[in-house]
Amino acid sequence: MPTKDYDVLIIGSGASGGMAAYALTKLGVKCLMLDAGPLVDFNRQRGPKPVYELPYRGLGEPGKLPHVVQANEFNANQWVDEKEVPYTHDPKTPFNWVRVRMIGGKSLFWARMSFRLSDYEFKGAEHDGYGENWPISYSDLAPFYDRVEPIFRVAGRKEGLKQLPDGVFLEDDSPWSESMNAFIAAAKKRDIPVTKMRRATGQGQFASSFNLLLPDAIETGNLAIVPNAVVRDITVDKNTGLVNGANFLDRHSKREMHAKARVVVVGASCLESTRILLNSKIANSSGALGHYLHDQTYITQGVQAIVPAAKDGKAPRGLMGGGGYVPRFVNLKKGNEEDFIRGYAFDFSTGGTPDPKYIPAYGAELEKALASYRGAGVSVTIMGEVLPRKENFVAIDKSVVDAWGIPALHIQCKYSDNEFKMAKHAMNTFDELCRSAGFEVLAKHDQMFPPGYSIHELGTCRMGSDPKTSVLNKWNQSHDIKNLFVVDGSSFVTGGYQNPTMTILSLSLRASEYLAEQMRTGNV
Amino acid sequence: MGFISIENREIESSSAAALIERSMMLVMKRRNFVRALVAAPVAPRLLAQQPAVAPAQPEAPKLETAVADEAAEPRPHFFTAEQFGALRKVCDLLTPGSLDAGVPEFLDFYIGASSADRQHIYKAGLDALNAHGFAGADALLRAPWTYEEPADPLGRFLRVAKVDVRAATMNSKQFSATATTGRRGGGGGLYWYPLD
Repeated sequence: MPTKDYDVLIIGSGASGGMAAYALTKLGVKCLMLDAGPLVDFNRQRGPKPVYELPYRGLGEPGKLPHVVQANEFNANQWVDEKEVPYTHDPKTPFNWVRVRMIGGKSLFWARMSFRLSDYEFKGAEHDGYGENWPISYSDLAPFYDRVEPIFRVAGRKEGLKQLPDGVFLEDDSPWSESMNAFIAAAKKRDIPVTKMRRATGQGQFASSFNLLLPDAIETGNLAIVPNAVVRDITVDKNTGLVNGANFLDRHSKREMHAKARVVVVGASCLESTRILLNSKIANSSGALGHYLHDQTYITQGVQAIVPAAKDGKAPRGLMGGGGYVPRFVNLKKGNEEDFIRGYAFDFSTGGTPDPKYIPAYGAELEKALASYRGAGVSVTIMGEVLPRKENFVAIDKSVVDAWGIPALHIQCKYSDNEFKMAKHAMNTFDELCRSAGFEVLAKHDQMFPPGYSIHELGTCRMGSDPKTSVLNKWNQSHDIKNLFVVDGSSFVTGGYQNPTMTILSLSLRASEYLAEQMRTGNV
Repeated sequence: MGFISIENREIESSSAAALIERSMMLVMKRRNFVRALVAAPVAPRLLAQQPAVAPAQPEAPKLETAVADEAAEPRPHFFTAEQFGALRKVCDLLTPGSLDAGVPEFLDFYIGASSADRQHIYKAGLDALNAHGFAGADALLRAPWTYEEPADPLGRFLRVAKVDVRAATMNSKQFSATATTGRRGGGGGLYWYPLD
């Protein structure tokens, strides 16, 4: 249905933009979606290759994607090349900005961990006095989580935990392995809950906007998607002060175009959305735009342990296998606080083989040890809440432009003592739990990746009740410009320890239905 | 992060070769059939009426190719002769089969293409081995792992080389060709072509 007359322009096709299109088009709103990346034919774009055919034997092209730890020589082309879309940071405080530009965005590749935030996050300031509360509470968002989870087919186990509200799950009633039971018993002695991972099972090989949201939106006849449309800025009607569309460039030819609409919904990913707003010089009467950048700290293989009875391939059936999730358990009760605020989660698994680097041997002896440890490993990823602080921010770096001549972002972000203390506490706690469960600990560390690694960048365009200290109101609507909405992770006030995608989807659904109602009643 | 975990995606190379052979025979048979189809005269008018049907394409042959390491000699040039000599010894010490897999020659190229920091780690470590011998290496390689990098140049080098040499060995075609039961190697993955 291509036309040149749209109700809403949606920038970005990932989780947030996809959900906006899904909600708005079902309510009869005519939408145009722009995305900077192509529509990928996965059968043509990827193919099996033996590792020895890669030019660098799978060790990776030196200097390619230095900030993308997740990249390897097989998938290097799936990520945004930082030479094509550069950003800057102080060399002493790196930020790992990990990006995907394709129809479906990062929702094509996410780890699918699907959690709700709780009032420990929405009302965090009330609990411990730090920072700001969200302008909404858990009960405002719960009905939207209820609708998002079935679309993404989230599997999980209900636990009745206040710090990790249950969802509408495909019930996971799979049994625990014996090594998991040993760990759970050790955790129970310390009142630490362990639950099954909560994961979007999706459909087929995807749990993405690409297969779960966009097809339905297209089906309504109310959505046109233009891929390879790199947005430069959002345009403003000088007479009304309202936004009226966006300028964009064709990814291949760099031809410049303008798309017109009555409303603009931005869902280009946290930092790209903020970059577009900053480059447009709009929506920043508060001065908060770009500030309060946060994500989650990640420590991978924080503790590497072995289940002794599983060595040398002697694990009886049912001993090893499976993993679990430990939600935040610290700082929940007043009067029982640690020397840091907020909390962290463990995502751990049993049945793997430890990385050779942890084994103090070499040559034939190393290979023998690895064979002995095969399938006997226990390993944990530690994910911690990062405090949203004003001094962690992004701004436009006028001296650098991307391949389309669009000014780049400068990112200034570092972790604070609160995060470092939390990391040490987390490492030591998991170490103690492993020993208490009878596991042998090979190695442990509390060194987190640089900020950004989690690919959970949040904030920089935060919601709030006060237009002087926040960019958006409680409906993800600009305080300054009523026909401008920002529906992705940039709107977060705090991020908690939980993976954010379910919350991003629920916020976008809530904001989009509000927008449709405002358009119907003529308020927008 | 360069090491590609291959354990879950093992390809047994001998059965892979058999598969290729079988599929080649099928391709040959099918190609003859396709050629016959294409040769059959088609009325031009009929073609014009059925634009949705793509004309039959002759199937492209799948040719077997070699990797350069099998067919040609690398031209080492990054390390000095002394450094390269020490690198060969270190490779042999760290991972069985690494010399057959051409790992010293590969690393000469790979480190030569890497960052100055990585180049320095290798050169300083190899120079230390040439100056003081291999006596200290054993203790350094048996030291328990800590997150912090070892302070001395040899310790830093051995820690990096242990990972690189093992990965370059297991990911080589030579290793894949000799992999037997109980020995893992020669894995593969889904390769992403540059985005259109």
